[in-house]
Amino acid sequence: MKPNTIIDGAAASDGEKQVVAGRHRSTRSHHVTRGWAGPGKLEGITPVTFFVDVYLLTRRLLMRMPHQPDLIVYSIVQPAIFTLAMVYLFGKAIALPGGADYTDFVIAGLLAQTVVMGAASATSGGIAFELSQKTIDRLRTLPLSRLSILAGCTNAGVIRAFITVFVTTVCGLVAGWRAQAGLGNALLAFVILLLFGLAMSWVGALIGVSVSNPEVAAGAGTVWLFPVMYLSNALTPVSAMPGWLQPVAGWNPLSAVTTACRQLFGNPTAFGVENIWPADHPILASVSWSLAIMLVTVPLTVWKFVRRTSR
Amino acid sequence: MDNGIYTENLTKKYGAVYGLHGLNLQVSAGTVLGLLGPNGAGKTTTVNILTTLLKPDGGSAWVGGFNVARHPLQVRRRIGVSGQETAVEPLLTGAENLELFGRLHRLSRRHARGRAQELLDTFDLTAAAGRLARTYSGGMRRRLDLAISLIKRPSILFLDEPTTGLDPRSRTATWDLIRELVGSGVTLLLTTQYLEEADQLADLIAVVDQGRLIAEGTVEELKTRTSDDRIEIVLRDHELLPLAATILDRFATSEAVVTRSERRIAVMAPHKPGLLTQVLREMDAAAIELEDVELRRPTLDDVFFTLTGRPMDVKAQHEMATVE
Ligand SMILES: Nc1ncnc2c1ncn2[C@@H]1O[C@H](COP(=O)(O)OP(=O)(O)OP(=O)(O)O)[C@@H](O)[C@H]1O
Ligand SMILES: [Mg+2]
Repeated sequence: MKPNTIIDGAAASDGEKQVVAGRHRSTRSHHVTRGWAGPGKLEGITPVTFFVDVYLLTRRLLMRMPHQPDLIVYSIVQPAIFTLAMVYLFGKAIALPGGADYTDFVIAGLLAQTVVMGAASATSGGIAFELSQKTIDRLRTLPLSRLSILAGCTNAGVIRAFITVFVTTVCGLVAGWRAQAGLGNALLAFVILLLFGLAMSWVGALIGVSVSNPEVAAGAGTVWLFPVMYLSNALTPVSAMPGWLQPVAGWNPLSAVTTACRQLFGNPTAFGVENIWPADHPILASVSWSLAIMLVTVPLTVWKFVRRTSR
Repeated sequence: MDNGIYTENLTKKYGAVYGLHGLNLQVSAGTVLGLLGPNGAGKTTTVNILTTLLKPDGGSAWVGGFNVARHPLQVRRRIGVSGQETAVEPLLTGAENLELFGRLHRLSRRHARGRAQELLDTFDLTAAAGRLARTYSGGMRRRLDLAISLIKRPSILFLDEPTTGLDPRSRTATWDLIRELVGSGVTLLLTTQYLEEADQLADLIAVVDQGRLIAEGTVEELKTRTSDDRIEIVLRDHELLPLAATILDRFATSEAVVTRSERRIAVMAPHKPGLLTQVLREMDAAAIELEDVELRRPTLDDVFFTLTGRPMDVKAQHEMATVE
């Protein structure tokens, strides 16, 4: 009885009629609704159900936050201390070309850096933790795409990072920093930060699915951040670096995002490197970098996640 | 729609170790298969492959008419799963857990909420509905996990050791619930180490050992697989265990299982009148004093023992290994 009760994958997707237990099965009953990406694999998942799933899976992680007050306190205290230290301790020591005010200069850099660090470390740790838990197996038995499970984690990471963005902004305002190019431009700057945060969150996700456990993720999720942060114009002007490092810092995505924000906030840019495309088109460069990073990390993360969990 | 489960020559290797070694199973729609086997037999591996969590290395499997490797989403849409380890969100309340998984199963918010209330009630969790699952006891978490697996009213259900960690009252309640579900036409694959559970719930039992199917049938059929009786003796003096074992060996159809700590020896022996009297006479002649003697008809434990030459009970297995 077995062979003819089975719908073989190939036969079903050819839409052939099959005889089941002596009856003709209507073509409709196994003519699967094709998904919007990839043959056969995403049956029944439409853009609408995908976004609903991502929303629910993001909310799943955010609903934990009220029960982790220590985490919230940490995400408020850490950026506050960092911002105030930069502005009041180092601000006087760093001379900017053209004598611009350091506070005006550094806030955009701190915002960009905060988004990188917050999103990447929150997501790498978050995913590594998820993988060590059993709930992920339950999610994997639900009719969801693997991508939506991961997207829930990366979204939650970005949202956590934006708590620190908010705190940094408030501290900046307290210290006298102002966005001087209008509300529209300021909002656009935050959109660019959001997009970049999402890209960094996917980098974190890739690290999270690649390491063996949450403890490793805590380290691996942050080590690569330091060169990225210090080889940029986020906290110091590029012109202060040795000549051979200047192009590296110039092409660093973080420099592009920082410069874009400075431009949109009407703050001093003081990029300091001549004739580099990202310095001349920081907004376009930021968006391009973010999309390019996701173009690589998203499929790679999904692939690693599937390979890792189904063996 | 065919809600059965079929596997054909299913094989899974973990490195060099076989988790499954050519497993053939068949669960007809609306029936309950009890997958029975000792630790490491391959029960969880089977469930994980059938629920699309693991990729098999060989063979194929169909659930609800769909090949699990080719149409995982179609399979997932039809199944409910409660794994061996509970998988609930610790930082959500019981009610929030049910609602979340209901909505991820594409129930509307209202429908998910209503269904959550129903299941909280069924599983005796209403009083704890608003508490974080983190604060639940092991048994409560197990019940919440079972409830979650039913949120969408699946037509095919997989339960991996569903009553492990439940107290006797919850266990009986869960059995009743499972019977009710099966009455409503659900196909169920249930793994268990409790023979009683398989006996209570399953229409058919598949005994697996080392990744292979070693016997299949109704409880009654399996019991007739061995016509032998089981003889157990308890000695007064554990020094005499080896001697007593050699004597029993002469009557036995199986190797003697010696449980040293209890000074107990068990064997299978032909169902023959006068056999026990003869055993006792020989023990007496060898000056072996007995504290207890038992002769009984075979249980599923004995069936497992006859089939594999090893006791099903893990503790007994361990004891046997230390005696050798
Ligand atoms: N992730 C893994 N890596 C390596 N070996 C594994 C893995 N999972 C299972 N195994 C091995 O595969 C075999 C079958 O394991 P499985 O978990 O399916 O057994 P089980 O019947 O569910 O046992 P239990 O009653 O203890 O739950 C065992 O020998 C086990 O050691
Ligand atoms: Mg198991």
